[in-house]
Amino acid sequence: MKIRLLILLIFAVNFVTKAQGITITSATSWTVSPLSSANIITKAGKDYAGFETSPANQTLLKLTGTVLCSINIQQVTGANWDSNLKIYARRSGAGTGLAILLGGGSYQLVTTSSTQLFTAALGILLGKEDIPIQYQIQGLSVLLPAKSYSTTIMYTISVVL
Amino acid sequence: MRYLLILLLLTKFCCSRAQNVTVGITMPSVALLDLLGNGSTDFTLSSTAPSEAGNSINTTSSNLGTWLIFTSAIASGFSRSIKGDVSGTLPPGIRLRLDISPYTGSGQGFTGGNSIVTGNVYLTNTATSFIDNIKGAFTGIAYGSDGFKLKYSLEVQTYADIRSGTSVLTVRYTIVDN
Repeated sequence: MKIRLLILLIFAVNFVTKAQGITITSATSWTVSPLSSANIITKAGKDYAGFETSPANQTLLKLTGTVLCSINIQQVTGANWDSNLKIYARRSGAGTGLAILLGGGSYQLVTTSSTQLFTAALGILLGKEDIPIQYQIQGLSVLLPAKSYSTTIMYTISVVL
Repeated sequence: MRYLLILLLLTKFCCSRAQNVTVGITMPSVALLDLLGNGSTDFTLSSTAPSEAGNSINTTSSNLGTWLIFTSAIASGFSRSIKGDVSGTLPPGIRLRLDISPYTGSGQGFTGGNSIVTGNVYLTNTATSFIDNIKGAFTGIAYGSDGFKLKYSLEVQTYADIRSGTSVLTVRYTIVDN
């Protein structure tokens, strides 16, 4: 009997620590082409206004899990990106569902290190869907070579408690 | 044990813990050039007759009121230059000299041998380059402090050809891909 309880406990702990999930329920890409009207240079001598902003609900996240989780974000840079272009992200709304979300309302720089964007108190009946994420690309300049740039942003979910 | 198996399956297969989003942006090619003048970019140069026999005509008239500004964005590995020419007929025996001051101002893209003045030129009906190796750069737009200050002046080329009269010319500047 004790062995059974021990096995049950091990599996339960394993479930709680691994059963959280994250899904993107919207489009999985955001491409700025052409630049917005604010960044069209119409007068010689000027540089770009400086940034592009996505729609507020550019990315929609769905979270599942049973505990307090951290939703982290990081940039996976490749050869086709310029380090002068900075990506910022924020949680632009609460989404739907009973889970409680904390933080992430202000733009934060997305770096190549995994950094917490917000936390979510999840439960079996406390899921969360349609959590909107908005992006900004800053650092636009004519000094950058004219071409198409692309990079990958990775979201991860992990247990806090 | 049945519940344990269900838990195990849920653990293994129910949830993804990482998701990716692709972000892209296209930075276009830009080539814009303009002239800033003190009210106008039109100017008049004149030569004056000597007051004493045996002296040369005076061609010291010049204009320093025009600034050249531009914005350039270009693909890696390429560059641009700025050329100038005149449309119309220059006065016989006279040539139009253009002196270009080094860049000053609040812009960027003018260091490390980029966007450099290659030399002063005489403007003719054939376009002549005078700023070269332009890559990504913007001069700023403040008249009197941003850009390349231009100086126009007259020089005697062939004294025997000089005739009295008036000529109206248009100076044209173009930014071109090398």
